[in-house]
Amino acid sequence: MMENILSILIFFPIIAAVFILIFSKSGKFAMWSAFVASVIEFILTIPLMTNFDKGQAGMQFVERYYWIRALNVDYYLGVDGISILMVFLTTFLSAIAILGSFTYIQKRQKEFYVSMLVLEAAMVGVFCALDFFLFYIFWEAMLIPMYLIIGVWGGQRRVYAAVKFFLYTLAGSVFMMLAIIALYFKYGSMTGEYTFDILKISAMGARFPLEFQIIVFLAFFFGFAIKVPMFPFHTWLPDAHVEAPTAGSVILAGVLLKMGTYGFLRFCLPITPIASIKFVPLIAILSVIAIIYGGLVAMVQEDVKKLVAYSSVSHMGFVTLGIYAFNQSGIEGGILQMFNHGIITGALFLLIGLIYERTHTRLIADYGGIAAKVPVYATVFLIFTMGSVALPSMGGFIGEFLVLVGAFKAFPTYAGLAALGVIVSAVYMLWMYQRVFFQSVNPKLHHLEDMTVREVFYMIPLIIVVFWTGLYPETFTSYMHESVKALVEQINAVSVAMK
Amino acid sequence: MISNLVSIMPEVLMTIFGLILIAIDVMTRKNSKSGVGYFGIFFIVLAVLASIPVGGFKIFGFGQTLVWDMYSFAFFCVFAIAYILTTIGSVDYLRDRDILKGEFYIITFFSIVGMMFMVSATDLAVLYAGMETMAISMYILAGFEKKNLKSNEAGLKYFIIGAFSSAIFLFGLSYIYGYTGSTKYAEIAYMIKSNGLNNFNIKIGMVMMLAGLAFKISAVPFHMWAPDVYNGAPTPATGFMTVAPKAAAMGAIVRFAWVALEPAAQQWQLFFSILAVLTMTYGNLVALAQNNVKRMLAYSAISHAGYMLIGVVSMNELGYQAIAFYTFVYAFMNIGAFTILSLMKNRGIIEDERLESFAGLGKKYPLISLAMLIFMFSLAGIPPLAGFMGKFYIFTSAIKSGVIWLAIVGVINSVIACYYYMRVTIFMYFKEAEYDVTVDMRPASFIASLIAVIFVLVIGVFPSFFMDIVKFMIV
Repeated sequence: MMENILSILIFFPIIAAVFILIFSKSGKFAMWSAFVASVIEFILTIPLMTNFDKGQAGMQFVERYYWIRALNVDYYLGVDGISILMVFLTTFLSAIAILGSFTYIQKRQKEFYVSMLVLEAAMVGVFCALDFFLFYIFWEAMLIPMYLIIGVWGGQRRVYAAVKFFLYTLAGSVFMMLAIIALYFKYGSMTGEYTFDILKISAMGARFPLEFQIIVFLAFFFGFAIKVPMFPFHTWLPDAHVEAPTAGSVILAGVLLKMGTYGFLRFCLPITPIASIKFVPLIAILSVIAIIYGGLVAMVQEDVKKLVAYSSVSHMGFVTLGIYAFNQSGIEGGILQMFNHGIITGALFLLIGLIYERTHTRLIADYGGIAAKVPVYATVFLIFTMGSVALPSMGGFIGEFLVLVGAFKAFPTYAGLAALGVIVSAVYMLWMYQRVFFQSVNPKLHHLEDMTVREVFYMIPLIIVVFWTGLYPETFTSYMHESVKALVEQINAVSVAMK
Repeated sequence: MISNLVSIMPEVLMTIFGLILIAIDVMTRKNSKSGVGYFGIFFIVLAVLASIPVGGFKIFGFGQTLVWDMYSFAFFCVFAIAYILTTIGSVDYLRDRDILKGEFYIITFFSIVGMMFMVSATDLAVLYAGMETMAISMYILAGFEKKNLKSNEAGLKYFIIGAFSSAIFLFGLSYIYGYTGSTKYAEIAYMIKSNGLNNFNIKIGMVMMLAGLAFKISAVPFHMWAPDVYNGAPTPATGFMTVAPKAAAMGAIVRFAWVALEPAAQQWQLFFSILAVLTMTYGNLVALAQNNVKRMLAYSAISHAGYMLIGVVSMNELGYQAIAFYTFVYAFMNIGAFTILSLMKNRGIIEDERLESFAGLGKKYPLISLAMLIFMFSLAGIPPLAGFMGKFYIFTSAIKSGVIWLAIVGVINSVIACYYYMRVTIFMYFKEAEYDVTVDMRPASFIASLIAVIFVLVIGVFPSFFMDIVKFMIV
């Protein structure tokens, strides 16, 4: 079973979705079977984590079959130290997001849970694919369920948000498709072997001519920067996050954004190393702008969900900054920050969602002084606020700290500016917390009920993980040491050769 | 002698079957005319099975005016698929409008004979004969709903403009004949090779002839007839008309470009790329503004012709394979969409095919909406659906031959196109029903759309079978 574990992880949710589509007569049945399926999916990732050999940099659990012989496309899967954490994050958050939707989703439950499971399968596929064609299929296939999730179960302006999300992402990724085809032919003409094999093409990376690298890099950059989202491409994000239902926001912030940065790590760095080095200043500036600008915009938001959405722009800036520092601590910090941001922001969206179910408002001004009414909620919210602010002992701190350490080595000025972002994040999060939970009580909220057992139940794993990564990050970083080391060595070899 | 017979055998077979169909039509009772269509399906499957060329098979007939090879066969398969899906999908529509006549199926059947001649022609005169056979059948199909003014208008319009385009084609042909002294592709190629393409007369001839063909694929600026005709014709006939004649004309253009223009291929790249860019962009931009789904699909059919033209521009084998593959995919997704569209009945005050009719359909008819969603996203080219594979193949061919700018225009267009396909899904899933709309799915249409859905999904995930069909074809 272990040799096919990745295929099982990809196809199990799809099978579960088909099962629900056919056999589910009531929403309740669909809801519970989707939850059971997602928990089984998560349990399946545990042997993946434990059987993973941390001492190896290369791909593990590799599966490879012929798929489309006419174009030399293979069904080729594998995980390394970077992608395995993302797979873990995906299955972990999906299970929690599904459990978190039980009361939020009131209409057309069957379709919702089917979409969630299909989405989960596509997300796992994106992180496991080692064939460009396969990767692209999963990357795009994700759009349809996400589009439906936002558009059917979203808020007031859901149609606008869904279409904007869809078209933005599509516009970015079609250029990526052209870059992939161009790589296919370039690699073919250089070696005589036409293939979409990501590893083979990555190994050739340094030998592609510079102009070609720049074009390919820009095409990839466009696709990934929209997904992350990096500064000028971020405008879809607040709309999509705010309008999406809770589970949609959790998955969007928790997993989908990570695909952009994962793409930088997996494709831009190894395949276009020279262009990547040349574009470091651009990426670093855009990252710093995202950190500061995202934070400042978050500060003035009146809607809690929008505030968290903009904070994502800011936090993801740290990830790109860390990755483009091109050193061990920067990249490891970036990956850890991806992981932590997924957990913390996911948790914040869940918390906002569950209070919204009770009050039907997300405006900060409508709240105030609820800490006394809902103490458990206030405590849990505080934990994740602190996590977002990067308080030491929480996951967020380790990630941002490593990023800043790495960034200081590579570009001290930008790192200094980025450090300001940490302060900004403290300002908007704490100020928001103060306005929502303290101060005078809004009379309308006298009957506010605290978290139910189910809600506490799904927050507990998130709390455990956020402290775990904060107190003993080695559990997670140990997976990536070797893979990141190999990546850094590859980049360093290129930059030495350039000098 | 034998080779003559073998090369024309599929067409002969189809003609005989067509005549038998007429006899069957005479013998069937008025209310069971759909039987004629089902016999047609049986016959066309027989004809396809009987004419499979063995690997590398290529047989010329009648002094190199006609050829039967894997290429002709691949397109024959496309026509057969279009015929089968249209026949099954049209029964309910035609019955509801009281135009369920055997002629519908017989004319469609005979039009395929014409299309086969178009694709297997290696002589301009044969090409013209095939084109006319196809075109006349299409005029009748467009005007088939004789009590509907719009359908009459479509038939007449198609006829006048079609006759006009045929005349242009013939006029161009006369120039080519005058210059090269032959109508055979091989000899035209020989003349071009030895004398070059710099003669003004042959240029005029080529442009006019290609314009005549461009009419048939509704390439911009030769598209004026398309929206009205596609909109006015009975919906299942539109499904057929957007797929099969387009595939046939594409096949003819490809064979002409590949065989006759081969020595001067590079010089024609610009001509075809302008045509491709105009066709894609115009089709998509106008489709954006449509509120009638049938009309929107008519414009989208124009833009799809533009994508296929990218394959012609590529001027490499991959491009021709891509076009053939694309027509396969397009047959399934477009006829599937038209089948569902033909079943929409709005009891409100607006037309059946208005976008508003789709509002809230997702709730009322979840399975039909899911099928429509799959067709729409496949037409938009979103993986893992078949439409994506087709587009991917097309763009691959463009990048291979170095026309990257055209590939970029193509992908930008497919993003624009995505929006109007999405509008249908927006209405189906995100809006509440405004009118009392029924979709009367009866067994025949159910089977047609089910086949289309299955193939769109299967080709999307396992395209190998169809890619192998096109991979072994040699022009």
